Amino acid sequence: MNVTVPMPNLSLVVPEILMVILACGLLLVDLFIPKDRKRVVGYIALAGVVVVGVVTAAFWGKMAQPATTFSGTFVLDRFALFFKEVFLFTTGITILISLKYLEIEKVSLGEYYALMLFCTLGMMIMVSGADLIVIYLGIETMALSVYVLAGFMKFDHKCTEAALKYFLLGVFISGILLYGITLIYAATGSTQLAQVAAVIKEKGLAKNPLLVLAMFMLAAGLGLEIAMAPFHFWAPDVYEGAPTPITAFISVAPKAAAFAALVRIFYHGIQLLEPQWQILLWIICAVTMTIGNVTALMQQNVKRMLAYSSVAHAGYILLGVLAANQVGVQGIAFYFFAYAFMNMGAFGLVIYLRRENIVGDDIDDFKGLAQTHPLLAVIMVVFLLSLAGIPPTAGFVGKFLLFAAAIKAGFYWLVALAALNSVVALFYYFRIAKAMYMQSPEPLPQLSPGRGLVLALVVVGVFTLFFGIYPQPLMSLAKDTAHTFMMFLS
Amino acid sequence: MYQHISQYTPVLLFFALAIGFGVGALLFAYLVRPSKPDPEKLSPYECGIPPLISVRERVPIRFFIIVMLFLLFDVEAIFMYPWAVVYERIGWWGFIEMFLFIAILLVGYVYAWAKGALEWE
Amino acid sequence: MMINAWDVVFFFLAGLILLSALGVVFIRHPVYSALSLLANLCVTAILYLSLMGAPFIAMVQIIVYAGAIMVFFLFVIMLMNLSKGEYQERAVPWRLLLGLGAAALFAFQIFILAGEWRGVLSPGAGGFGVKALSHFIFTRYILAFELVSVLIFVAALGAVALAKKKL
Repeated sequence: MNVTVPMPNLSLVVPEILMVILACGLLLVDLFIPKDRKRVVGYIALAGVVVVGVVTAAFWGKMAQPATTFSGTFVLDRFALFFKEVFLFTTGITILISLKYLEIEKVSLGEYYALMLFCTLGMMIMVSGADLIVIYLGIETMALSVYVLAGFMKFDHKCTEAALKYFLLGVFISGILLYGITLIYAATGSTQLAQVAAVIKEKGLAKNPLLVLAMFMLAAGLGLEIAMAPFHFWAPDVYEGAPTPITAFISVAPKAAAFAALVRIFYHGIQLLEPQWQILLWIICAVTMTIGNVTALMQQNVKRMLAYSSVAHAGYILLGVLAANQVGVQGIAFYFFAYAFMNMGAFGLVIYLRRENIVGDDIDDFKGLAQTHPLLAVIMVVFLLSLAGIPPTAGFVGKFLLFAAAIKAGFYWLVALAALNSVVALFYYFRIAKAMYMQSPEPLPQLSPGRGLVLALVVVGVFTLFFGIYPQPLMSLAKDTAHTFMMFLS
Repeated sequence: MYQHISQYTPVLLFFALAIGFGVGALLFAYLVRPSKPDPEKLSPYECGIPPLISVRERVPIRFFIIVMLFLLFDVEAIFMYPWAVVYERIGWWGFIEMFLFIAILLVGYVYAWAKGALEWE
Repeated sequence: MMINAWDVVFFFLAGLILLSALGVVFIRHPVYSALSLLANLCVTAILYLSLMGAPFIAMVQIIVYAGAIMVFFLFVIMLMNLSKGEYQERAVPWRLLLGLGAAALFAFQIFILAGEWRGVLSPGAGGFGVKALSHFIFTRYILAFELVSVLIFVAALGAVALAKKKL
C-alpha cells in the first residue's frame, strides 16, 4: 500500500534551510582554513547571517496572514519573522564583537561561529513552532549550543564552572519542560497548539489540574532561558564566567526566543487558562523585577550587574505578556529590539575595555573613561540611559509601551511597582556613569579594539538613539506583528 | 487487549530455555562435582607470582569522546527502525527524508573525523 | 474480583522493577548498582512490550538506555575508579530534600491515576504500534525528525569541541 505524503510547503522554511546549510558548510570550510586566519570563518558567518536576514525580511510583505506547513507543526507569521530578525541581528552583532575578543582569549576557532549559527537556527525554530515537540527541539538545539559556547574557553576555570552550572540546571529544567508537554498531551491528546486550544475549549478543560500543572512546568522550562525568578540564579555566574560576547548574546537572544515561545504557547495554546497563568505571571513578574534590581545594586562587577539588570528587564517584559493585549505584544516586540541594541552595546563596551590581563568587567575599569576616551563614555551613557528607560532612547519607548499595555489591562499595582523599580535601577546605572565622569583615570595600557567591535558599537549606538527619537518605523512594524498575532484570539 | 504479544511467545520460550540451560548446567555441576576447598586454589594464580598492584586501573578520559559519539550515532540508528517499517508505504519521499537526516549527520561525522576525534591521541 | 493472567504478569514485572530500583539505591558498590539499573531498564522494557503494547519504546529502551547510556554510566564509574572506602563513606547531600521531592512526585502521579480528570487519553488508547508510530514520524513530524538530526549534530560538535584538548 502506498500512502501519499502531503508535500510540505518548503518555501516557508527557506531561512531555516539556509541556516543549516550555512552552519554545516562553515564547519567544513573551517577544516581548510589555517589556525591563524580563523577570522575568515567569522566573516563568512557574518555574511551568511546578513543573507539569511534579508531572505527572512523578504517574507514580511507576504505574511499578512499566518501560513502553516509540515502538517501544521510549523507556522510562519509576522510575529515569528519579527523575532527571527531580532535573533539574526543579535547574532550578527555578536560575531562582530567576537572577532577580536576570540583572538585575545586565544580561542579563535571555527566551531564557535558554527555553534552560534546552530543556536540561531534553534531559536528560529522555537518562534515558528506550532507544535510543542517542534518547539522543544528548537529549545534543545539552542540550549545545547549555548552550553558549549558558554564554556568555550575550556582552560579557564571560571568559564568551565559557569558552563557546567548552566548545563546541569538546563538539563534538569528541560526534563520538567518535557514532563509538562506530556501532561498537555495526556490532557488533550495533542501537542499541536491549535488543537490543544480547540480541545480545551470543546471539553471545558480550563480548570483541569493536569493542564494547570503543565502550565507551571512550561513556565519553568522557558523561565530558565528568560532568567525569571526563581530560575534566575544561574544568570550572574554564567554571565560573569562566559566569554563576554557570548554573555551579550545569552542576555538577549535566548531570552527573546524563550519569551516568544512562551507568548505563543500561552496565547495560542492554553489561552483559556488565562485566569490561572495571570496569577502565576503576576507573582513572577513582581518578584523578578524586584530581585533583579535590588541585587544589581550590590554588584561590583559590571557583568554581574548587567546580569541582574537583565533579570529585571525580564520582569518588565513580563508586564507585556501579562497584559495579553495588542499593545502588550507590540511592546514585547519593540522592547526586544531596543534591548538588543542597548544590552549588546553595554557588553560591547566591556569588551572594548578588555586588555591583556584585565577583563574590563570591574566597575573600577570604567574610572575616568570620560577623560581618556570621551566618545566611548558618551556612547556608554546612551546605553545606560536606554537601559534605565530615560528619553530620548529606544529603551524608553519600549518601556512606555509595556507599561501602557499593563495599565490598559488594569495591572495598576504592578505598573507602580515597575516604576518604583525603574527608579532603583537608576542608582546602579548611575554608578557606572559616576565612575566614568567623576573619578580620575588610572594609568592603563592602550586600548586596541578591533574594527568589528567599533562598527558594532556605532551601529547599536545609532539605533538606540535613532529609535528613541524617531520610533515610528519600528513601532509600526511591531504593531503589524502584534496585530496578526492577536487576530485569532477573539 | 493483549493478543498482540502472543507473537513474542517464541522469544519468551527461548529466554526461559536459555536461563534454564545456564542454571541447570551450574546446578548439575554443583551436585556432581567433588568439593574439596583449598585456599591455594582460590588465589588468582595457583602457580605464579601473586599480583603486586590492584588490577583495576582508571579508564582514560580519552574514551569520553568515543562513548559520546557512540551514544549519538546509536540514537541516530534508532530512527532507522521505524523508517524500515514504513519504507514500503512512503516510498521515495521517505528515502529523501532519511537521506537528509543522514546527510546532516554525515557532516558531523566528517567533522569529527577530520578533527581527529576518533584517533587515540 | 477476578485476577487474570495479565495481572499476574504485571505484578511479577512490577515487583522486579521495584526490587531492582531499590537495588540501585541501596547497593553501595557502584558497578553492582549500575548492573541493578541495567536489570531495571530491561524489565521496564519487557513491561512496555508485554502489557503496554509499545514495542518500539521497548526496543529504544534496550538499545539506547540499556545499551548506550549504560556504557556511559560504566565509563564514568570506571573513570572515577573509587576505592572501597570512598564510596562507602559518602552520603548524598540534601538526601532528605531529594527524597521528599521524589515522594511528592509519586504522590502526584497516584493522584492523577486515581482522579477522575485524567484527561482524554486512557492508557493503551489508540495505536502505539511500530507502524502507526513510524507513519506519524515520517509524515506528520518530518520537520521534528530532521531537527533531531541537527540536534544530534550539535551534540557531537559540542562534545568534540569541549573534550578535545587540541582542536
